[in-house]
Amino acid sequence: MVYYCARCHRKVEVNYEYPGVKCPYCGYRILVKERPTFIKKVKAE
Amino acid sequence: MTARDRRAGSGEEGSERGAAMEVEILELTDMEVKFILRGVEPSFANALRRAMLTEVPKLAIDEVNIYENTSPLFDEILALRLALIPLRAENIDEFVFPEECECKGEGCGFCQVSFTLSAQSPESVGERVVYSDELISSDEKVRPYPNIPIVKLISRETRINGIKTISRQSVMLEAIARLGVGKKHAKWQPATVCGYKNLPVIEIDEKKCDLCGKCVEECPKQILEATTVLRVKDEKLCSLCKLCEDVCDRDAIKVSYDKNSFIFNVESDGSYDAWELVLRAARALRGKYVKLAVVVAEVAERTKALA
Repeated sequence: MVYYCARCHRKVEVNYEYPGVKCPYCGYRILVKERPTFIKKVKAE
Repeated sequence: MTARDRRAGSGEEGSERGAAMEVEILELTDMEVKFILRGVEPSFANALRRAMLTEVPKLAIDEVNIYENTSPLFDEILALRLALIPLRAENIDEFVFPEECECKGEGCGFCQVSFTLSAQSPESVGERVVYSDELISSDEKVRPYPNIPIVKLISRETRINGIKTISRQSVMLEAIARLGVGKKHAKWQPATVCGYKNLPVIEIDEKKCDLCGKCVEECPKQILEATTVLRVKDEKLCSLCKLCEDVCDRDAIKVSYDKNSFIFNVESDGSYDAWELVLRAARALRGKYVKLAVVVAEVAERTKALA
């Protein structure tokens, strides 16, 4: 799963083996999940 | 068609009971119709009201394929907002329900219409609202109702690593509209307002009335007028609150209603003209009665055969 850092906006790969998440470049702890590239089908109701 | 069917269709059967159905139109615009329906049972008036809300088919966006959405709205909320936009189709009778279509609901030109929307916030800092007019239809005869705001897209200045950039929001999607009825979902409901009340009847006993004017002051709708005699300006506006009746010490005024007359107030959402909506509801109701008659006749024949 690709995330990006909310401060430096770089793409970050999260390693789930280690506890806690943070940006390896700037150390910021807020990561935002990127929207997947596929077409999303939504039922309008 | 038998002689009995013809009589039922022409309303002669009603006259045998003493009251034929009458319709008097009070107000008529594209979006709104107000009319009095006389000589019908309350159950029929209610059936007509319910048919207007739930039995008239219309097109509405049912599925949305979202390619890009960086707007402030979530995908699901955006889809629901799109679904509630009334779609006006000149060729509505050419469409069929997806479950009745030959394509078996897979999607073809007979059971669905596709709309595309591609919008972006301004190049410089600012915002813009995306309106329903920007939906591009695959069928020229099907148009969305104009000037309905969908979403506001905002361009902001952001600093990434000390560099100033403009972050723009955008929406890119394909919406698929299908035919449906209001009992399935409110997005397929062609009437926004559809209600009725009994026709008020106000009786004034001139012998008892002393023109004290208390009832004129009390009436919240201001429909009473006391000059040389007490008179009603417009009975139809009466809300049947009976405050005038309560305030009168001499029992000179009596408020009641006609059990078999109804004032209908119908407002279309824009997918049909208001008069067309009433007409289609009446047709839908007739279709149901005919179906019932056929089923009852079949059952009667079967029971006869068994006997």
